[in-house]
Amino acid sequence: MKAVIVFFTSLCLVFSQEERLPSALRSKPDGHIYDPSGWLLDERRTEIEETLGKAERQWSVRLFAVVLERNPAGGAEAYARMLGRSWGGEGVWGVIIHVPGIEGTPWCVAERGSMVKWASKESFDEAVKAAMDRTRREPAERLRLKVACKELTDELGFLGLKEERIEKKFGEAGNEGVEKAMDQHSNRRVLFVGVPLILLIGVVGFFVLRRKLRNRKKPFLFPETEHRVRFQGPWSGGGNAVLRFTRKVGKDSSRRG
Amino acid sequence: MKSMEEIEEEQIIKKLCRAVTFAKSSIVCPSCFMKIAQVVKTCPRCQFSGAVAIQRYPFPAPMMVRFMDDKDIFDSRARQAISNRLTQLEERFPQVRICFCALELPEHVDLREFGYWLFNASPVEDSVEAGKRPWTILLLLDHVLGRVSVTSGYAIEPFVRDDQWVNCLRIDREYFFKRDYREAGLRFIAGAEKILREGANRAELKMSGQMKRKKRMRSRKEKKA
Repeated sequence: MKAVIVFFTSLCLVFSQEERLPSALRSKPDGHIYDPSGWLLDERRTEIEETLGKAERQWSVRLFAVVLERNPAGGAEAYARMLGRSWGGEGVWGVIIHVPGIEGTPWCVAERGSMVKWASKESFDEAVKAAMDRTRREPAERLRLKVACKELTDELGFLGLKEERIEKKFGEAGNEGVEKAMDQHSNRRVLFVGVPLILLIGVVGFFVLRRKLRNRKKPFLFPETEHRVRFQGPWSGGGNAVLRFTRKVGKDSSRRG
Repeated sequence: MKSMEEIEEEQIIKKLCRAVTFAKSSIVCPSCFMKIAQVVKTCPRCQFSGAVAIQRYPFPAPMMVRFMDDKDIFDSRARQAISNRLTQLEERFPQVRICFCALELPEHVDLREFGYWLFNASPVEDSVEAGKRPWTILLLLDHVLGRVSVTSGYAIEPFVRDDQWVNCLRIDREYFFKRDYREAGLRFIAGAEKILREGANRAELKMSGQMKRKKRMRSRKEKKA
């Protein structure tokens, strides 16, 4: 019995050391910072709020800074993931948990929703890892949360910017772009086929025309023939080609034109 | 390169071409216009001949030159333009010469008969003229009564037809009627060039056909031999 009581007491002690999910946490904070203990200075709080607000405004990345007094039960990362899924929704989100006085703080978890076609998973995870690595290099513990927020915003912002550019280049144009590209492709094909064909026809036409012109200009000699000498005419036998072109009849019955 | 045999053969063809090989027009008496099947010294119907023509027109014929036109029916501008065009034509057909004669004839004189007389009675003073005369095409224009006729020499005759000349004149009729002899002359030359080109093409075809036939004959003979 004593052993059971000792077990339960120790269990209670362990749980009391760890932060449990408070009911207030289930609802999203007004801004991007959850700091019930008021650990953050006002000035820093404003700076962090600005930074995280910028990430949401510009790239629709929802980042939250959470300051806890104690390490959450089940680990900070699991807790952060839980919070992020609850607050971040289907988009890109990130939760930075800072527990003052504990080594390795802050921890960060960032994810992107399945609908978000934002970079590759590898590059996304790498960006988060790089941001946190740089954060841990900051010697002043008080500044680490601010640095973490800044670095994460920058990293994800860069990814967002990259995506935005890609969107602009390919996405925004959408079908129009694809149609344009196809048009260009078909135009190119027409050019590739049409231009040489026209050139070929032109060259052939040129040679045919030149030959014809040459033949036209080339003097032609009729063959000599036996003369059909008739009516005792030495040079000509006369012809039967005659035409009258007078139409008017004068007063004196003459047909003078 | 043509072999000697081929060159000789070509020359032989040139020498031996009979007018009937090319000629399409029938022989017509220039006086009574009866069609005659073969060459005759006098017309079997009207007894017309060169001697009769000389009796009918007992005066000297003018020299056969480009313009036989005492009354300047073809003015200097017209002559210049026509001469330029004729030079072009003669470059293409160096053997052929076209002459224009403008005159005033009594109504009873037929232009075809007069043309026959003028063509034959016009003096031939040198070998150049003798060479040119059979290749001459004479356009005779009676500017008063409004008549025009064409007479061609023996050499050019096989390559042209009378109906072609009539068509050519018919096309130019409007300009003759308007007394625009410059335009009429230029158009006549253009028409003549077309007629000559057709004749040249026909002659070329016939010549090449003859050459092929001769070659075939020769090869058959060689095979038989």
